[in-house]
Amino acid sequence: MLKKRKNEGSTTVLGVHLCSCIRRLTSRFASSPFSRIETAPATALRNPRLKIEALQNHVNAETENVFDDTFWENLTVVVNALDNVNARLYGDQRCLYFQKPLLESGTLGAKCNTQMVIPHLTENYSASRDPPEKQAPMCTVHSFPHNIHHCLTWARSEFEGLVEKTPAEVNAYLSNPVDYTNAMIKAGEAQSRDTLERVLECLEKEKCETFQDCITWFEDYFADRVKQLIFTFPEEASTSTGAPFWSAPKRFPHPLQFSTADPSHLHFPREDVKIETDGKAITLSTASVDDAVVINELIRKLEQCRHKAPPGYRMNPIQFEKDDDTNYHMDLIAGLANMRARNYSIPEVDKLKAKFIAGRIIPDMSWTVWDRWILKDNPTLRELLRWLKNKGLDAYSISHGSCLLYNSMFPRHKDRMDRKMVDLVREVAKAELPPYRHHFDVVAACEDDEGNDVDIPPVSIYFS
Amino acid sequence: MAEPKTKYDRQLRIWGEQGQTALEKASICLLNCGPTGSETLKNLVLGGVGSITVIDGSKVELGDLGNNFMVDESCVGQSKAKCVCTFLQELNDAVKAKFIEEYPEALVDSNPSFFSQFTLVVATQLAEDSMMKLDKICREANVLLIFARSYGLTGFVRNSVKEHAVIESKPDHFLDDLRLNNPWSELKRFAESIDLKVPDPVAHKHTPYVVILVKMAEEWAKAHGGTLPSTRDEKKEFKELLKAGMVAMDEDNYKEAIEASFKVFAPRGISSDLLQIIHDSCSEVDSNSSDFWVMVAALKEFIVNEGGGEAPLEGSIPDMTSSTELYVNLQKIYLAKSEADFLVLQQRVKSILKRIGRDPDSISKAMIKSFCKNARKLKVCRYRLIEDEFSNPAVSELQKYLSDEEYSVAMGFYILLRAVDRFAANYNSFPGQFEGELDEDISRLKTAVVGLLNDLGCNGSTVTEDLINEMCRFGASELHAVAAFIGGIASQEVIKLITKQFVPMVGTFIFNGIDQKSQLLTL
Repeated sequence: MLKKRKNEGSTTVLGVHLCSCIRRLTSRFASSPFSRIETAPATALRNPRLKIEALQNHVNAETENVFDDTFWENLTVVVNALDNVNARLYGDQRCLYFQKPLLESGTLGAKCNTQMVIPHLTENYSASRDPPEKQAPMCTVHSFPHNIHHCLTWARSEFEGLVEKTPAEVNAYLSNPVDYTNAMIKAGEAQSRDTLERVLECLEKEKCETFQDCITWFEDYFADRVKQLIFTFPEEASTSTGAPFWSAPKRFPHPLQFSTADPSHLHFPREDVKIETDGKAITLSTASVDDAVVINELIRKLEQCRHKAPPGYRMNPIQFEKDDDTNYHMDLIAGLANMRARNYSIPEVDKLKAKFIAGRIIPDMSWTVWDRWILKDNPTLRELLRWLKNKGLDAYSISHGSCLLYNSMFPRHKDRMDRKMVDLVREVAKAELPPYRHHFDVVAACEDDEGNDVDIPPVSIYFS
Repeated sequence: MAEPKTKYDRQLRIWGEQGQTALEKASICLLNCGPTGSETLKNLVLGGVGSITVIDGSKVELGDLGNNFMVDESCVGQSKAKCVCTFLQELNDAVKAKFIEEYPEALVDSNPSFFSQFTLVVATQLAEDSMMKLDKICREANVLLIFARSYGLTGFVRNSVKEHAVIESKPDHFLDDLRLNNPWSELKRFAESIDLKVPDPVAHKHTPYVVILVKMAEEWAKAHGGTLPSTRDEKKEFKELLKAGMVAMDEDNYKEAIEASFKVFAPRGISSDLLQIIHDSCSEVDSNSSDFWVMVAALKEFIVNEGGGEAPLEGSIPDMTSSTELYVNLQKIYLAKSEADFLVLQQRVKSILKRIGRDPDSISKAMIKSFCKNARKLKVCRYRLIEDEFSNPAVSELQKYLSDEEYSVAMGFYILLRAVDRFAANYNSFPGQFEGELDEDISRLKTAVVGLLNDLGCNGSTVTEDLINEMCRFGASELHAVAAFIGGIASQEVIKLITKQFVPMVGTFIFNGIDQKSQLLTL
């Protein structure tokens, strides 16, 4: 981001990136090991009257002690050369607040855009937003990660499955075995079968109390499963079109050999929960006739376990709390993610960075591209926002298809708060809802309590 | 020096290894290294072009320091070509950089054969008469040529090549090749083997839309004498039939079918663009024909015979809601047909090569495969000689542009860019170049404009006073911001011509820096 100060004929260059053209041009005066930002002052040699100040700080809410009111007030114009939307949005908000013109731009491949944001003349950058980005696809997270984000999403999900969801399911079963098993039989899907298998393993297996158990668990995750995957898809495997299977962005994994010499392997702490293994290969779940048979068999086994367990036995589901450093949650997640990263030769991250990224992930692994959240009873906009708020989500923008229904930045949208969502969709989005339709989908762009963007599935609103 | 793959990583994603190799083999000649030329060449040097030769007879003056990144104070008084060359070399030591201190106009007059050694010439800031001479020379020598000029807040870019054939045109959006409106027998048979009304609800919602549409289209055709829906009502009815086939609200495959139903309504056969290409006179091939036209000749035969009016099948299918099994089967069917079509085309290419007296293996399998995959997207670009454009103007087009609100400023600048050259020929300076003569220059320029419009056969049309005044105000200056933009456009065109990927602009690109608008004028 470049910012020009007024009256002094000076330029402040911020952030870790600098227009690569200026970098190349100023490479005459600085050799390449310099960070891009450090070559900025060299530009001043071309125009001696130009004073340049180069700062390495990120520009975001956390550096407002550096980029304070005085800093912003002294600027004449801001020129962007950023590489992500969040930084742009932040910058835009600051420019809006301090009424500074902003010259926004971006490139992608052979395409580019520029946008002039002039106070009192044009709309600001944030006035139009792209729809929220999609979650990484399931197969990427399950089997083909290629960045630490995927590994953390997987780790977060494993955590939730292992220590929160499955114990909760176990308790649901133990509290009311008849109703629970009847519901499973009725559903009869592969999903039910999965759940029952997890519940069974939880009850059947011993608590992971010994160090040996932890090693077994480690080996299952980071050796056995990987071996299974590369057995199914060897290094030289090819796709149906003849292209190499393991071509970018897929990364070929390697199993890890547990070693006491490696401190990160010893990092897995013991916890007050059961840790079960799940040795299934990853396939798309389709229900089959067999499921019903298997489900019945599982229920029979569950009965046996239940009778063996002491009366009133319950498990203790644990909810993820990233900020409590004594609970080992982040240790486990970071450990899981980093070991997985090691499998796939992806650069690892420290616990702090892992916390930052993981804290923003919604770990609902059962959300496929076709899953939705559902809200019934013909809600109003206000009710929808409140429903999301109860989930810890601050929805600032609601859209239907490409039409914006609500955005917290537009004062006039407040008039829509008590309108029924279905009416808004009909009137504003001009959507045709034929008589047999009882619901429509909206996309909500949300932030969490810390103002970080959170991806959520589309919300299906039932109005009749 | 950074490893080439890492150094060019960003651009490899756009034009691939082959594109990069083509660039690295190219030798570029730049005429005039003011900001326009320097910016064009800078982009190409960063991209890794093989070699550059900078031709400019002028010395660096103080004024150049204010609009050209490729010169600095220490260069003042020295050859501009030398300085720019040195700066450019520093940007990428993999590029071979040379310079010649000579005025391009003089070189064009005295040594036309000089240009034959280059892959491409970038001619910047040339006046009309030199443009025309150079154009002829490059056409004769089969050297690619691009003109670029920036003048105040305006500028233009114009490619000039006899013929440029593009196989990898890479259009932004192009319809997939599903043949839902014209399925071949294996696809039909596959669709027949599937029961749309399958009772299992999971199977019902995992029937891929391709199958749904092929079957429904077949049913419709049977009930309508072999035709597919064509009127608005018929199309609506067809969609209703699809909707009626849904048994639950969440059947994404049916929703996809409804959204994709327009592919059933689309006309069969090849596009008019492709039709034009296969009927081009160059498709009557002989021993001198290029590989491209030989393949077009084969394509023509294919379309008429095995293709049944269609081009070879592209072979890939998009993502869609489906069971894994059915999707994989569909993939195999499309791939098999695409492969079969390719083999036929390859055979035809070989026999044509034999017929015209060439080695039947002289066109590689890879080339034919690429041609096959891109058959529906082929493009042939042809450019008029500048002299022809000037002396045989497309009068109706000119008049249309001048009277069209969208185009009038661009067309005005096109006229003015030529008018200032006439002015300069008469008065040895450009309008507004010297202070204190602005008013006289305005009227002189106006005279030049009127004269030019007459010569072009557009007596009735005018260029506005405002624009003429602006042109004088520009004083033939080369503003860096405008030059950088023109240079950016020009360098992109160079890359397209050299890599033979993407479609180069056909026409004259005019930039209007007053309104930040660009127009392509086809004249």
